[in-house]
Amino acid sequence: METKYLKNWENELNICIRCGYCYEHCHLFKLSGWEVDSPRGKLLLLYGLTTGEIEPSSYIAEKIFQCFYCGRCEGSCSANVAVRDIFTDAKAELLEVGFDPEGTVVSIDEDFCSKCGLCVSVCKSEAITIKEDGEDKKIAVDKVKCKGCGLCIATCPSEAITQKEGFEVSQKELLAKATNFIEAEKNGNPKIVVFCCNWSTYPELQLSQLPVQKKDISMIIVAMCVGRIGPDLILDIFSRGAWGVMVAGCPPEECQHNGNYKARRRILLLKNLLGQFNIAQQRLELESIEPGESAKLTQVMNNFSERIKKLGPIYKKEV
Amino acid sequence: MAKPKVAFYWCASCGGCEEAVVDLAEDILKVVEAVDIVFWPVAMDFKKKDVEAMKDGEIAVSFINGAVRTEEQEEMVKLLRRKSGLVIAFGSCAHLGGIPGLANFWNRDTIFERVYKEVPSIANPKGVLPKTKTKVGDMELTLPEFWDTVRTLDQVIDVDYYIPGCAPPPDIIMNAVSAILEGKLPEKGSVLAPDKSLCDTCPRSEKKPEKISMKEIKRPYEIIPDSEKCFLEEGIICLGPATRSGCGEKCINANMPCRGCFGPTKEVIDHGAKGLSAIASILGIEDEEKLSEEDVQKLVDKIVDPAGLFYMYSLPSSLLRRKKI
Repeated sequence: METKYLKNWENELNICIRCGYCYEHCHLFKLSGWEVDSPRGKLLLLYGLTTGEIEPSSYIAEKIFQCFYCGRCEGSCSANVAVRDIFTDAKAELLEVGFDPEGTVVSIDEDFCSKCGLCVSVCKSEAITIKEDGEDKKIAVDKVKCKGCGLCIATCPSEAITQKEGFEVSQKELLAKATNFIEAEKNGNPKIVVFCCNWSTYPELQLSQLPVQKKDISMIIVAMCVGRIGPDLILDIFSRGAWGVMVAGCPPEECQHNGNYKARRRILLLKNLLGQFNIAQQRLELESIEPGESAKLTQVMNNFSERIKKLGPIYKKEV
Repeated sequence: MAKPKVAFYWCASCGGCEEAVVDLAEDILKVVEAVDIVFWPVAMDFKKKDVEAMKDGEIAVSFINGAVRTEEQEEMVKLLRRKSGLVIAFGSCAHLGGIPGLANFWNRDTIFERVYKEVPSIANPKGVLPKTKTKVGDMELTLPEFWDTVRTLDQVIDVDYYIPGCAPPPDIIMNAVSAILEGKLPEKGSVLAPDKSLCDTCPRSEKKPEKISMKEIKRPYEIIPDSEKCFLEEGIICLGPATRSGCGEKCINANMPCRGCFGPTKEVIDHGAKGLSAIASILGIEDEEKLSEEDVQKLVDKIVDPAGLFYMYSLPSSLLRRKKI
């Protein structure tokens, strides 16, 4: 195929030395283990498209649109390939050729969307727009700009925005993970759910030089940004029996989506609300962890666990 | 052919829903012509035993308003459920718990102490409190049990449809009644009002800026809102984005923000959580990179009663249900 944007990247695509360092940090690769879900695999496909060795297909297009732009691959790349810029141009290319895959891009259900515009305000990538369309208004997601962080999903007051299942970041999947953990924990250990963002905290836990973390007393769930974690999800998890919820993300000024600021406001307000329900405010905490601070994360989690153990479960009053 | 039998009943309610039926004005004649009202304690003289004497399912539709908080209400709604084909939760209280639902911040003991002993307007020197059984001479008086927790109607019986609002506006009621009489109802469990939130029909949404933000929180008494601007722009908390439409924006047109009486849209389980998320997401968003932790705390603390505000009508239907006591 004649490439308009990708041809500018032909050299860069060749700079990739196929070392595979990017694998370790890619959320999508971790889910499936397939080469095509790793940054290296996608770069290979794009190289093939650029040189004409392979023809585009809806399967390839769907895979190229599956990326959360967390940038961890770039952070570990031996050759400094500009993976995210390449993928962005690749998306534009595939859309021009006529593909329209879903990938990790969000979808807005027009049956429930009231065009309140709150999603437009929170999207740092400016991927959502509301335009006049005669008498009506139309809302649209720019698939090239959307990074799939999910801030809009947590913000939408009508739950009109969704992401495809299978990447473990949809509301259903996040809730199911937490619920399964809470229900399985039967040894009297504190039921603590920890949400980590893929950029700041989670990858560090992969490293082998971790200080000792107390086993089995918390469940770590990865979302692409702490801005994805809405008050409704947190309250749902408390109501199902969690003793404590910790949300760990990038420090101020370091979140590419500015989701940590939203999380901060939501969690501070939610803490005030919990206090009114006689639920100890310390059961919910937002922590900032710099990438690489695996020791801090472990320490923070251990301290939180100690605190929650002392508080015990939330007493449930039956009618 | 016999007219379908219809019943109205009220639980923990203010009577506004009964008035909403009367508010149908001339349209009420159409309703009265088409149905046979067999039970309506506030307006007609039928008794409980009349209902007990009916066959199961004999009443075509029962409209029940009010939240359930006493033993009597539980008994009556269960009776009506047996005797009715369809049960409609009428109004915010039956649908979500309503204003009476705010009693879930207390329990029976604290409520009785306050109402029967502490309030300035009570004269109760012996500190008498209501009991389920009281001996008066050689007679025994009984009262229904008063539960600690207010419940929505569907937490007690199976509910077929919901007519939202505090109180439901006349056109919502007429549309619902017509749909019932014509048998043109949506799937069971639906709320009989549009699927989108208030911003969809709000007259102020046309002039909204592209990016909505709230610089700070202003309580409604602090400013006189501009009658053409979106309330959020001026810092006034409006639950319109999180609340189902269909009410005709009566409050908005009276220059007051939406309080959420129609409840959430279909996919949402916890109304207050969504309202909280909506407001927190855009509060101070313009300068969010410059705000310190203390600044954010101050901003957020300006919402003095988040639970009462975001759960004003929906506390019993929420995920947490009630204050843990």
